[in-house]
Amino acid sequence: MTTLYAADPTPMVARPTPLRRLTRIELRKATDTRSGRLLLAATAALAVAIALGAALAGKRSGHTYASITDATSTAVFLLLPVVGILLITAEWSQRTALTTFTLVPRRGRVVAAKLAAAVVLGLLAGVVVIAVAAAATSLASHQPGSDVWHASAHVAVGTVLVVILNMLLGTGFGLLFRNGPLAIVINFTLPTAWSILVTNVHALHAARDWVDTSTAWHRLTEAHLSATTIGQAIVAASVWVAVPIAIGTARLRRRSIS
Amino acid sequence: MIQFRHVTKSFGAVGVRDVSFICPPGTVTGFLGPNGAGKSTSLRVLCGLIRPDSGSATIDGVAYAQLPQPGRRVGVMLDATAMHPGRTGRETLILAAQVLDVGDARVAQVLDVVGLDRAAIGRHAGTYSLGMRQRLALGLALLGDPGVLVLDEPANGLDPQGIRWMRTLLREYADRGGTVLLSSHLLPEVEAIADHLVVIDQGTIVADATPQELQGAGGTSVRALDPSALTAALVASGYQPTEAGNGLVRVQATTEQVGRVAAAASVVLTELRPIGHDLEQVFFELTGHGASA
Repeated sequence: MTTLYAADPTPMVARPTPLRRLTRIELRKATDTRSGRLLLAATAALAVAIALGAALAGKRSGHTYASITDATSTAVFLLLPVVGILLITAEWSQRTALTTFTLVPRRGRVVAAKLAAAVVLGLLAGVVVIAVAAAATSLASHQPGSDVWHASAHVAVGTVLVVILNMLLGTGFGLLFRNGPLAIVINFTLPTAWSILVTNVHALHAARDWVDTSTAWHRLTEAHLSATTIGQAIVAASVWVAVPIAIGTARLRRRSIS
Repeated sequence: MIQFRHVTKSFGAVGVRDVSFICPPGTVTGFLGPNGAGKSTSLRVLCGLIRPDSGSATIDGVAYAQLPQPGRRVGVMLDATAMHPGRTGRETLILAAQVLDVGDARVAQVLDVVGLDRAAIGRHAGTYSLGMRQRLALGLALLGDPGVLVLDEPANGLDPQGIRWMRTLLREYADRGGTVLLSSHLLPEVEAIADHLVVIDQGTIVADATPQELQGAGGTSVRALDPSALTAALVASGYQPTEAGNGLVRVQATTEQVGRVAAAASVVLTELRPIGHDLEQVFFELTGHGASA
């Protein structure tokens, strides 16, 4: 027994799967099921519909790139985090976690790959939003002489950033709860409820500025970025994104998977 | 080689206590026990999915989670039903192949081995029968061409032909030097291929032996054309046979020993078999589930 034990050093042939490949695999998992593809297609379709709706319907004037981008991004804020949530929770609801974590037992690497995949999806969706909004803006009727494209670079970059942050927000809830329906409900209600609370209660306005995602992050899309607004966005991201991800990851690493 | 050393995990009702055993290379170990005895918990501890309270489980001396690319060393099949129903069989295999960095050729090879055809792997796994899922799951386990296989209830849902096919596959795998650990709650599934049986009940190992050892030295039942000549030859060789009537002789010796005595005495045998305990009886007795008959 002891001899066998010592005389059996099978050479370590393979290296760990690189994080880049794991990320590609997670991206593939987000798009290789019918439900995943449907959700992404619905997100894109909704974004286009809202952009066109905002540009062509309603008031005949006053459209700017900023206002149309703002409208278009709501579609992505609504649906894309669900993709991020399912990226995590489907491993439990479909019980594929068993295979995933057997193939990659270093669970932190799987989480890192999923977060990276969420960032990539957020980036792509953000680019789609600013492009669709730009197309819709050029279709819209404008008041003569108004600067429709005012601060468009700010708007574009800020919007992509906020889409990514929202995606990570949802993904973090997925990690924290590992239960799709619960994470989706929390994702839709908690930040909004908090936002309503801090916006309407005067004593909580400081909280609104610093730990309300809709207020703090939205300022990233505005032209006047200051150290304070950037700081506020970072604080809000820490509370709503970093903390759930950190707690969720720590719990996932210790948990039994069966 | 797989080694469990004093693995303990309290886990409500399905915990395991002080589980220790070894699966040497070139053998098939049958891990037997009733449902809920702790088989799956033990295998999940081995694969790093459950952290034991104490003790360790290693593969060639290394904890599973420390293996740089575990799928290349250990093929694991823990639950064939744990597949995304909206993903095709092919896609399920490709995802694993990308983690393991094995090519399309290996995927095709494995599909061939497990007998899933092109039409089947193009369909969503949700449409698969349990037997097809077992084949796909076994394909996943074999993908990295590992030297060790860990299979939880692999025969579940397979038809008799499927079970026979799997037996042949695993036997050949072990004969080429592979290490196989497979669990089952049904003795007949593993009896035919296991070199080594580990029986677990209520979280504790209750037997760790070869099937022959488990059957115990029950002696041999033998029938000869000339029973008295056989009896005389056995007595002359130092055995104590008893005639059971109808030409049947019972003796406390192995079938080989009796056969040699008969051959030396030129006695024609018409029947020769180990009496032993019925293995199933032993299993039921060990696991405290009463006699089967």
